[in-house]
Amino acid sequence: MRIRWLMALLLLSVIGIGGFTAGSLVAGKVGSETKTVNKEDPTGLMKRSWPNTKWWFWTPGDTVDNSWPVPYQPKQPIAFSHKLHAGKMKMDCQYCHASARKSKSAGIPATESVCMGCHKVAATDREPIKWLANEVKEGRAIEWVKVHDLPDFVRFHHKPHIQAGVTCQECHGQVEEMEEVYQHAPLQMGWCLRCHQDRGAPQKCYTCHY
Amino acid sequence: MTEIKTELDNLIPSDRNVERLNDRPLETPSEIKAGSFYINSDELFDGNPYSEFNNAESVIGNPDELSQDDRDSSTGFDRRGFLKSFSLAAAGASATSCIRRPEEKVVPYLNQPEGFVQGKAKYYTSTCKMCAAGCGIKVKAVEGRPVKIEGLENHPTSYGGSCALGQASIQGLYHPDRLTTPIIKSKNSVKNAEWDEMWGYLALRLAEAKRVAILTEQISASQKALYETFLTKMGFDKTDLYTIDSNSLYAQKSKAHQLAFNTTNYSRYDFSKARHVVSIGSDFLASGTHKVLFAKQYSKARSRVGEERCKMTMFESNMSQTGSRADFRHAVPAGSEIEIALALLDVVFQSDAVKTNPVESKTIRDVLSANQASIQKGKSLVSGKVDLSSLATHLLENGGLVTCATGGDFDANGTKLQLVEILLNKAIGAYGNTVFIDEAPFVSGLNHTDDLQKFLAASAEIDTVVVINSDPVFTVPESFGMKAILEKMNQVVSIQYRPTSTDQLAHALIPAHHYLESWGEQQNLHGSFSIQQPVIRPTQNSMQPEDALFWIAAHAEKPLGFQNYYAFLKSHLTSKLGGAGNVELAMKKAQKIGYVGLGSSSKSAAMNNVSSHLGNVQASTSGLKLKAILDPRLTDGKGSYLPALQEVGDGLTSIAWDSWLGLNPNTAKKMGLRRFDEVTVSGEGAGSLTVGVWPQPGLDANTAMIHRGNGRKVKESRVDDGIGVDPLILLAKGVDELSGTPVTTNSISVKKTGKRIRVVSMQKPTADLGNRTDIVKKVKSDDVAGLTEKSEQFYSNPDFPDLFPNLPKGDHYWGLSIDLDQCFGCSACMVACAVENNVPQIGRKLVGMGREMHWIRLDIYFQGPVDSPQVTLQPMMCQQCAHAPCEAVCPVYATTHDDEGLNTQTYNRCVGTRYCANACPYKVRRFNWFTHKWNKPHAGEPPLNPRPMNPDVTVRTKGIMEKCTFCIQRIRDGKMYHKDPVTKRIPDGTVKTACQQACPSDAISFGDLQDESSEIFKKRYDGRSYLALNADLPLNKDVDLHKDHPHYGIKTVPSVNYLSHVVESVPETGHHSKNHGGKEHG
Repeated sequence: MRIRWLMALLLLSVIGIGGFTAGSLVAGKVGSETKTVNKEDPTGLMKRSWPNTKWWFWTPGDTVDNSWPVPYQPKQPIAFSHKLHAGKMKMDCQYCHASARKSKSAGIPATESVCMGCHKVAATDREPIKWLANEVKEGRAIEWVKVHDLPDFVRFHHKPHIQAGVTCQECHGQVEEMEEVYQHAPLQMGWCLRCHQDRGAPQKCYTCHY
Repeated sequence: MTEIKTELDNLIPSDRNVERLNDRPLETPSEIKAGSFYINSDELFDGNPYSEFNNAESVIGNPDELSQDDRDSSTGFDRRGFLKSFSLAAAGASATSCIRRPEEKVVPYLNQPEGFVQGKAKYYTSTCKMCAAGCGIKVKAVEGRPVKIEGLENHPTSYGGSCALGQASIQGLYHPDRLTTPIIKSKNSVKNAEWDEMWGYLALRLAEAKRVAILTEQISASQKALYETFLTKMGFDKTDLYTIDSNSLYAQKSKAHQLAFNTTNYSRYDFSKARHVVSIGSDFLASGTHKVLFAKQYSKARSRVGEERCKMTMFESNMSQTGSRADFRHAVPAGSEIEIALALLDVVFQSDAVKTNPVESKTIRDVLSANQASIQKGKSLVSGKVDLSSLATHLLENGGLVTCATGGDFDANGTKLQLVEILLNKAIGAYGNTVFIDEAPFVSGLNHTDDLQKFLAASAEIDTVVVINSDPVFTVPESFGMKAILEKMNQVVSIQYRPTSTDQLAHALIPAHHYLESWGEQQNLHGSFSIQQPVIRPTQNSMQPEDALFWIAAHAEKPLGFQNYYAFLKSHLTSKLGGAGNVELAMKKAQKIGYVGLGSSSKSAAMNNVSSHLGNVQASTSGLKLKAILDPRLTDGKGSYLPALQEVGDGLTSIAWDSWLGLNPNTAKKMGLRRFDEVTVSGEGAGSLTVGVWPQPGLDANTAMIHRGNGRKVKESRVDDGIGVDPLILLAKGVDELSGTPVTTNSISVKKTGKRIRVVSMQKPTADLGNRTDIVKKVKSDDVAGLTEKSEQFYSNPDFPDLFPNLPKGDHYWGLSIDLDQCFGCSACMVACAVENNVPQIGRKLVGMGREMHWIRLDIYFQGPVDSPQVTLQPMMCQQCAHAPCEAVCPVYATTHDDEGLNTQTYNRCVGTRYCANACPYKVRRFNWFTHKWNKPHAGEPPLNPRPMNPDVTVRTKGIMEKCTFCIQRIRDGKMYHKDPVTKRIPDGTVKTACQQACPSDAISFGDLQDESSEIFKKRYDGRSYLALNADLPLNKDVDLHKDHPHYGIKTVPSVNYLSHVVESVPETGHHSKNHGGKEHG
């Protein structure tokens, strides 16, 4: 009997240590692949490491009001500021995220087609723009980290929401005031359903899970 | 809650003694009496459909082969102790170790193509190159990756349909067994080579070569032009281009037309204009030259009502899928097809109404007088079974069509049979009515008859062979010695898009592009031609064979005069595209539409006197004959490396991942052979093989059948390794003397080995099946006009109460209709569904255990005597029942009914109770026993299951139930993009399920039942319509809904309805079982 408990303890510690090392190895690998070129980082938000990570059982902000401890705000490869582009410059959301009113996904603007459209001539003296121009020259698109990530068994379609008059800010928050995008809403099923109930939108299982 | 309560109140009768109809105890299997339908003939002989399971000797699955993870392993712990310690460890582990979830990246385009919308697929036109027909296809590409192939509507060869091979061919694009690098083999070494190295090597070898030959399959005109240019420019003889197609029907037809009309174009059939089709051995729907086209035409001919409806008489020796559609089918011995044809010609010619001109009459007279013995033999074979003179009369009335072949295999009379077919069609006046000879070429047959013989004759002098996209070592029978010939060559260059047997003998292997990555074209009907364009950048390190030739020529410093094959193609097509002025534009336009219809008129052709060629027809002999048939799905082996095709199985036996010896059940009984007996088969050739016996109803008494396509000798692909047997090794070297094509039939002898061997089949006899009359319904063709139209009230029978609430209906109500009169079992629907919905293929062992994953399956029902059964093929998928038993029993509400009539499955909620599958009376729910990953093999499953994943469909993991969803992803797309915001209607035909779109005979219809002008509305309430396992009513006008309503079945009220099989006569039950007690059906 004693042997059983000893073996259990041994198993526990082995799994614990093994898991921890494996976890940190994975985390280390993931973190090291992103490029950080952030000379301009006035808020210091980007330097925090742990709000950048998600765990299998919990994501920061995974509460009903998405506040504890901080919202999910992963490190992006380049310091793109929505506050500058969407706020100060007043660019329309759908100028870059053009597929939102047409299909399931809102789409990320193509690096050369959209970003370089302006940045071939705009702000070319800044370090991040120089880095961007170099990436484009070498034929690499920017690998953004997905902030609003739904699980694979949820099928979210942007088009009907835009057609119903839902503004981008209702789900994505005041993006035009974000230096670096963070997840404003918990994106849990209960949160989605509450709005669906309020607006009389379909609330069946098969609406999103099929 | 209040709603349900009210309904219950009405249910409970005041009189407790009311006898509820249809309330009888569930029968146990031993009490099942054989009914009128049967699935395998054992039911008829033993009376017990479960004999194969009750028989102690029958091998279901070797228990020793069960995988390790299915068995208990002894760990030293006892179970409770293990559970205790493990749970403690798990609890602790989760607290201490936090595994980080990896970030998801979202990567945009660098340079987004014009018109691209993220989340929406793009459709490209192209041409399928899996056989010589060249069907136009539409390829759905998601973000640059093709995920689905569909037929191109309005294309003159496919008209929107596709076949199983075409649907599965997309798996070949992502196949892990594609060669990844050029290889140079020398005596001692096998070396991966760089491309430059390869070109240098080949240029050198070709410079040294004395005579170079190019071996290929059916090719297009531009390919032929290029290969000839290559041979000429390199200093060789351009006649050394040999096209050897294993479907010898092309060569035989071509030769026959050359002899008869001095043209290599052969006649174009138009079945849609025919009113009586006589097929002598021709499996035109499933295995001929243009099966998709003919299926489309024939379905039009069958869907007419009354007098105009086309009937078919079939004479064949094997049981073919076209034969399953025949109204009058007669089994004749193998090799006697020409005798039957001559006998028919004789009778037709004697009639006053014969339609030949004097020249043709003379020819026919000569032919008939030279073949009296055959004619007498033919007449004696059918005497008593069919009245040839009334058949002749019927044909001579407008709209007859005769088509002849030898049923998927080829004998020594092949070309002669084609000549007799021409004579017959001339005699009945089919030319100009249902058969046409066009001005422009029909198909790129391009006079490749005799090529096999020419190659064999020249092979002694040829020292270098370039084999392009064909496998002569496997597809030409062993006795022709292809292997020995190629081994003798100095150099064999093999340019293939798939693993082949020829690769084993090659010195230089070049990986070729899949047809979805290639440029090309294909001649079609009426002089039109279709464009083949790449749909994806090359996925592997491969090259188009034509471009490889350009490179070799460049390295040999004998350039071919164009930059690459695309430039050559454009120049070749210039004249067809309208002159040199705007070739680019014309090419782009052609690519957009998919084909260029040049339009060509048919001509009347004067016939030569062919009687000299029909002088010595080989007589049919007695004794057991083997037919080595081109498998309708795998063809000659082209499809054997595609797991979807292996898993879909044979249409008439549901045998998957296996070969079998098909025998007439009476013959098998006489020979003392039972199902699953292992036998050794030896033929007139040098080889012999061991295979399992499968008694197959419908075969002629002296005909045995083994499908080609399997039986590789060494491992070429991980998919078909060790699967099946190759019947070609049994054949002696026989040749059709007119066209030089190999004979693939001869006599065999069969000997029991004493062992039993499992032949894996998917359909099992189920309880109570034969007795039920509400699964398959048949109606006589004369009675069709008198059938009552249905209504939803008729289907849902409000007189009989039930516990299901009436759910509110939304804007649409989806229904599907399957016409049992059209389905001939090609299984294109099964493959299309698997590709569209990410359904995994699980391999032989798991299919043998009954764990098949097909969302739609084909059920086969025979009725009548085993020598000439009537066959009904019934595709069965989730019936989306309005009163679904599966919804009622799910403990977690994972399956719910939506307001559009679908029974939806919420995958993430399912916990895997499998109660729903238990409750489903149609047994259409599939459980994921394992996670069949794209990149992780499970024991017995083909490792690396090459599935092009459809991103619109959830991929399921272990523990989840799945089933047909009526392609809900397509319905959603239809609603999202095509719904009229005012009327809320989607135009009929916009949303097509994958199975409906693939079906070449338009058996499946789908649409919105709330749209009263839609096709599905007409079909659901058609007189012939019925719901499976519901409304077990005779279909006639005199039924009083309220009085004569005793049998309402199980009242699941499915959204799927079937249209009854229209037959000439319903056969009497053919079973001889002693249990036949005429049980009342209830």
